[in-house]
Amino acid sequence: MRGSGKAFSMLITFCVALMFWVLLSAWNIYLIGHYDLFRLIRGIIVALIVTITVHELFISEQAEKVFLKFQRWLRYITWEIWQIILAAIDVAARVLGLRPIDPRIIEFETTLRSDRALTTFADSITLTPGTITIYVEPETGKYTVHAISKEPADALTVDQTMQRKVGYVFMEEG
Amino acid sequence: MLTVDIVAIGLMAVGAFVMLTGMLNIMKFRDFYIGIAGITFIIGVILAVALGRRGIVDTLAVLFLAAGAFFIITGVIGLLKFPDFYTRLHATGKCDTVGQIFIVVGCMIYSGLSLISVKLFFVAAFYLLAYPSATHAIMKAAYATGLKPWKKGDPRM
Repeated sequence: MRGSGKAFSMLITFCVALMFWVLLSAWNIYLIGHYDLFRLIRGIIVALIVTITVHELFISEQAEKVFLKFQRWLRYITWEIWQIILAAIDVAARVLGLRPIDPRIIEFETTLRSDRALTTFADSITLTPGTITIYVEPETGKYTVHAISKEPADALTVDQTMQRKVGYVFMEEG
Repeated sequence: MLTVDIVAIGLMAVGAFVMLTGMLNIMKFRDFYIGIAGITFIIGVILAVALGRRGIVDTLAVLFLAAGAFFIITGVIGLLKFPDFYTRLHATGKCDTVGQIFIVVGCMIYSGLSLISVKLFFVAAFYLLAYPSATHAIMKAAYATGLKPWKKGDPRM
């Protein structure tokens, strides 16, 4: 990693860690009646330690890419929450006997390679309608998935909306 | 003051109508319009919460808690009803996630614009990370030990 990239990732990690600290301990900092500098300084020290240890894991790219990816990721996550609610209704309908179940195990390959993209896609599969990830092979991007019925399996193997969305977010399409 | 109530309820009603009809496939909406409906609903909720309309806020919180309870009960029924290990994980893994998140969102609406809501938001975010990981880990362990999945037509396990 180059020098400017390192400074950028350390800065962002520090800001996020400190924000998290202030949010979770704001009761202690503000509501006692006076501005408690000691707790804030303690937070800054902890945030510094966290920054020095994990900044390379947290952000490992150049600045422009990070912001673009974050914007795309936010749009993806709203779509994903909608899909999760649809998934719960789908499974509830199958539980109550309104739709049949026909379990099967499917395998397919994707173009995703980086750890973050693979993990996001695996979690998304598990959260969306009727599919759970069993195995992931990072070298070939191959997924083994248990599907509860034919339609959710087809959504992954034939339709491939989600692969394209995750590939678009992490810039790893084909 | 009554006008504000009507505006908040109107925003929530329009948003909820579009989302529910889209969800249950009564009407076809594009994803874009469903997103707009979601934002409309959230604006209505924030309006009611920020102005301290206890009646509206409590009703909404109860509705969310009831939806969460419904999903969790459905998950339990699925756990008892489905034929094998893998399909049971489908029932618990998904219905429980959404049920818990609905309950947490209900608590967020109930406690209003405060720090408790922020902490509950983080709890909901960690649910979304933890549940799929745990489900996947259990599934992988079962598959690795050679448990055969149930096929259509097999007897119940």
